[in-house]
Amino acid sequence: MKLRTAFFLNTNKMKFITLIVIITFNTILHSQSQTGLVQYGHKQSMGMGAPIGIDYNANLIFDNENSLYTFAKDSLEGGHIRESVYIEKDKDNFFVNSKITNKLGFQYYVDKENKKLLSRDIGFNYVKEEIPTINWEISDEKKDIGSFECLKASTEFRGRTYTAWFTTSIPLPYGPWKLQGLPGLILEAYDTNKEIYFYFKSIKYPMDSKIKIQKPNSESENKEWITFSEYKKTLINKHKKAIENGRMLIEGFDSADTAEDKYTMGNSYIEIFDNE
Amino acid sequence: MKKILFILLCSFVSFGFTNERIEPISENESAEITLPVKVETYNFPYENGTITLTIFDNGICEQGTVTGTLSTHCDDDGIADYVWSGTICREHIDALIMQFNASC
Repeated sequence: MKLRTAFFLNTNKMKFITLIVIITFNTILHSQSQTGLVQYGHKQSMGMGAPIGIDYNANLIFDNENSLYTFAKDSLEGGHIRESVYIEKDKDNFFVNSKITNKLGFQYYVDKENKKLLSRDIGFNYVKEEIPTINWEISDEKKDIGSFECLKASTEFRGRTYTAWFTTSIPLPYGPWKLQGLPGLILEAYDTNKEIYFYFKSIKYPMDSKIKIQKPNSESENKEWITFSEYKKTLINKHKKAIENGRMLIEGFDSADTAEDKYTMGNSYIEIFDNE
Repeated sequence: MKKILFILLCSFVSFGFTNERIEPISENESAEITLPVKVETYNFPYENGTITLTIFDNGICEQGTVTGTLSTHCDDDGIADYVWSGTICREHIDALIMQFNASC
């Protein structure tokens, strides 16, 4: 009798352990299945008034905890690119810009748990900041992107007014570049006149295999992390210097009109800062 | 080395500008030669080096003027190093782009 009771208890114990193992396994499997990869087109037409500018390939890898958006990366374009692009808007207006990629690309990593946004941003600066709070206004307007029904949201963020289309089918708050904080994944976003334009190309979700989402690694380039405020100052100073440099060169030309300093930060960068 | 290359490049541009306006002389038609555009280059000190400027001394825009913005990135880091916005002679655009790129 004693032996039978012991056997019965052991069997129950075994069942309990098996159940725990199954639950744990399922949890791991479930969390793995949440990994996704979105491919976007990343078009920058700053100052052009229409989406006619430089077009990059971009990736967003995400899971339940983090996301990493990358663009202007050599491997995403099939090799290193460095070229001046002449863009004729109409018969009276032209733009000359550069399409340039680099080995690691520009990276934007959202760490949900620690509420940090880590970037390998312009100037190859490693920038650490709190995840910016973006006050989105969600409307009832809907449209389909791929096989996803998306809702429209709009906001003002760092000098530009953005419209975003997000899907609640993937209830994760990520998106292209630094745009995030909606109750679903952003599949398309653009500013006024689509000078900045992130457009959807494809998605794999859930992915069959787990991809490790690696945060930007400043040590790999022997660089220090800087604050967003420091980054902002650096960029403003670089922009001022670039205008001076450009003016010095153009003064040598016999232009029909004198060079005007109407080249704002918005002509060069996605983010436009107040005290430029 | 960069300076030498830049000066050579400027000379090449200057040469191109000087010569493109000379019409070929055909035996059957009256020779019409457009006077070459006067081009000057000079250097001036800038930071730790010098910048060579090319001056196109042509007051007439034969192809009209065009308004544009120009942004040159010298490195791969996304920083615009030379930016400009304004109106120029249409025929000067290529030389302008070359001059901006050569200044990197």
